[in-house]
Amino acid sequence: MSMLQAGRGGNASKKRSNGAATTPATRPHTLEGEHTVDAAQLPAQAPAHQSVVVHNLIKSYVGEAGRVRVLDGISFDIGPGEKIAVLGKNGAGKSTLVKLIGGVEQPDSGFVHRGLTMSWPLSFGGGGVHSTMSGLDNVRFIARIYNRPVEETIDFVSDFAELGKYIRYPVNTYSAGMRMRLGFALTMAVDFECYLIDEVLGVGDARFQKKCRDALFGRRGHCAMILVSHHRHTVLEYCSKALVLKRGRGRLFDDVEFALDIISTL
Amino acid sequence: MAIATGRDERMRQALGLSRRRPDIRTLYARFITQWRVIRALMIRDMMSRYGRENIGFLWLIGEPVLLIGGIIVLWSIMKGSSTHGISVVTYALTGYSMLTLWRHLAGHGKSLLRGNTGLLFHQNVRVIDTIIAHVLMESIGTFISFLFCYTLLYLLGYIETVYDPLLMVIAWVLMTLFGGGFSMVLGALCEYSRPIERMVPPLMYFSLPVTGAFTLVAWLPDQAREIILLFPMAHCFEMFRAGFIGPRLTFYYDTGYLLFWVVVFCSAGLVMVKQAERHMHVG
Repeated sequence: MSMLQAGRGGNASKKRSNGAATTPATRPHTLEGEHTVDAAQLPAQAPAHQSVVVHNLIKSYVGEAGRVRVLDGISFDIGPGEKIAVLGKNGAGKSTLVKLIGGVEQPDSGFVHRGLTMSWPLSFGGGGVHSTMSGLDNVRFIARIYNRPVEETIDFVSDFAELGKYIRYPVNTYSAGMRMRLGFALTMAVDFECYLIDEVLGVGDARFQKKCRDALFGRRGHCAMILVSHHRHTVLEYCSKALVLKRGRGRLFDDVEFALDIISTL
Repeated sequence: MAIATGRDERMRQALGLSRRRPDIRTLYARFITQWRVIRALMIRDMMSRYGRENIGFLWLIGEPVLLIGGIIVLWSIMKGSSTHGISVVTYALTGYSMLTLWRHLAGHGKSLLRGNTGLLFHQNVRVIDTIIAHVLMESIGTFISFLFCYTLLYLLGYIETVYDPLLMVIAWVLMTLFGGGFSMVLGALCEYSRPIERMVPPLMYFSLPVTGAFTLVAWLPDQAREIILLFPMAHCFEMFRAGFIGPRLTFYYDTGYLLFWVVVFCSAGLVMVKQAERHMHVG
């Protein structure tokens, strides 16, 4: 019985994804128990307000060599649970894009609609962590900002980051790896619906890398993700779409492998 | 810029993402969030500045106390026990506590936007939150150190009871608002141009005489009086001293004039900070 139900469920979802293209009249066979569901009853495929919509982002910086347009009209959107890779050479604007999506900086024009709760961009520099405070004070701060129970968050982070007694020391005494551990543990301690990962998966020792991957793609596997990475294997394994950036322009590919090939020939 | 944002807003509407006007309940929820964030920022500010060693965050009060106390001792030695019918202790306490507030607020202006960029990594934290948290902390901290000094000197018998505490508090609040607005304008200008940033320290230094900390307006000749009363800071100092000393001496202040400049600087500051936010380059 339960199998039958599961089968029906499968049918229903298939029909939904086919949408209007396949009408019952054009199909030669109808399955037993099949019935037509009114389109109005179905939920819209990805409700616009529950996704991240990036529309026509333009960002430029003023420097010694004049104004540099880093991003020039980037548009795409991410539904719940969707994982998208951002590919491009160094200086292509990947980190800037991630910062704009995370709301760290403001675009010159265009907008980012954040229908999912977003993590802060997790990057090498340990953004989001304050260096003159101790690790513990950082945890308390994050817990307060994101309205999480303080004690629980402390327990989680000290367990995950494995910093031992160093969590009581100021973050500016940490090594880059320790900083990364703290930053990663902090993002994991808050339930986000969309994670912004800026090349940090390749940092740290092998064991901690594995732990990060397990946490990110296992326990938080249902979350949407924007992943900046040069690591071909990671991108192929987890991402369903890829955004290729070049000279401020971006193009979205559904075929991730193709996008990776393009990047290697750029 | 305005045209671009207008177009973005139309696009938002077309995609069904337009930001609805919040009803009273969401407004309340947002207010709660904002307060939570500001509170966390204040604690963070204290922790990162003073840490947990020795007396920890009490330095927030201790620092100004040392400054005010030192000035009181110094001026007492230099100027004798009283000048122009006001004791030097009263004069130094009222002048220097408020001057500390003004200097901390206005002096922090140039790092107002740049100093806390790391915090913007968090969605809930906007530039304005860091500013509100900082201004609140300075104001409350310095006021507590004023109270501390006052209580101590009162118990030792150096000063009398204050005449009108409410007037003093109003003067303090207006000074906080004016200083906050001024620092926002300054911070935004510094974000746009480096030369302005270089000009801030000398400007601050030369503006010290016109703040009214070192003189009562009543002591000045008419011409100088007109000039000094152009500066809103002088009105704050006069008001504060009027509350402390009472009608025994003449004080010159115009609450309307002060309020006008508070509104001007605060609104200009808010708009300019919002604009400058677009220019910021974080980490």
